[in-house]
Amino acid sequence: MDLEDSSLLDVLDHVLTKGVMATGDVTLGVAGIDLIYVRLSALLCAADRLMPPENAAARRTARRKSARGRTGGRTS
Amino acid sequence: MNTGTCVYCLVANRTRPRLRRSLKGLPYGGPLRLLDVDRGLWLAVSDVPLSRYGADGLKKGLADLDWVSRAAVAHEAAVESFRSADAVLPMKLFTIFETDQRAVTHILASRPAVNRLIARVTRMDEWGVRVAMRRPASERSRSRSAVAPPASGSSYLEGKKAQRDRVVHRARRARAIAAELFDEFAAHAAEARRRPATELPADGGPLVLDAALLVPRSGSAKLKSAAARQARALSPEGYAVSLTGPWPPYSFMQD
Repeated sequence: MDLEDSSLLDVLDHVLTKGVMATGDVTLGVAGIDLIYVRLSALLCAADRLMPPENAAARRTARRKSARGRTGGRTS
Repeated sequence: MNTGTCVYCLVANRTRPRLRRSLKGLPYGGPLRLLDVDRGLWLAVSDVPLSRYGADGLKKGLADLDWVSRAAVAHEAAVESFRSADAVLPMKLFTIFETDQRAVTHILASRPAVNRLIARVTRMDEWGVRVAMRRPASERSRSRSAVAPPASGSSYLEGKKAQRDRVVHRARRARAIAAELFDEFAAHAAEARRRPATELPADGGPLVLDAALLVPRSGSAKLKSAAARQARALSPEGYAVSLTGPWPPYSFMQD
């Protein structure tokens, strides 16, 4: 994972900790999710998440565009 | 059955959303499909191998942040492909059912809650706003020059007290700015949620505000210019204001 890509940390923060709490049939081990949360917090401390509004939008667009060029789909 | 039904989001729209043919969900899974839940309501799903995404596979995979990241990006891409729909209710990552039918049944059982969420986020986007405190230039040069030994014990103590007072003052100012900015940006939003200070990373560190805003799609331009204006105004004082988005409304799915 690219530590400089703070938008990836944002994605993780959204999809792991937020979203609809639907109880699926596959139960996630609590320990596994806690492990991810702990490591995510450590990365959030370390990474520089802040950038001016214009740059943030440009970086997200650049990531999307470059991903599409490589494989035709979104990849990390 | 060796595959499960992975759910990415609920989509509410007057007409059936169009799927981009190349779009897949989680890695090693099948293409994205839509399940009919009701008139104007669909579940976006894909088949995923339980060897990788069953209980044991997930337990193993969750220990590997790169593995989780690849899944997270794929999940987000699937959800974002429905951004032009009237309402999107994004699921948490790895919401997996044994069959399509069980997924649909589960949603139908939660219909009142689902309807409330749809009403809340119809034609809205989520935006994230953060304010971080940088060390202002004057602070940086001051600490560099404070290398010479103090002339006396009392001047050393005075220096220490002055330093502490500056830190306290800066913390107070930071909290005031965070509150002011939150109120200003929240005025653009139907709902605003602020991450409590105790949950912000690096206790005592640079992040003083982390908030999620639920904003009508028609109001995004005004929000962006307000954020840019504040970023310019506060940058000389050492604050970095940033806006991310538009996001699907993950932060407004739980009460």
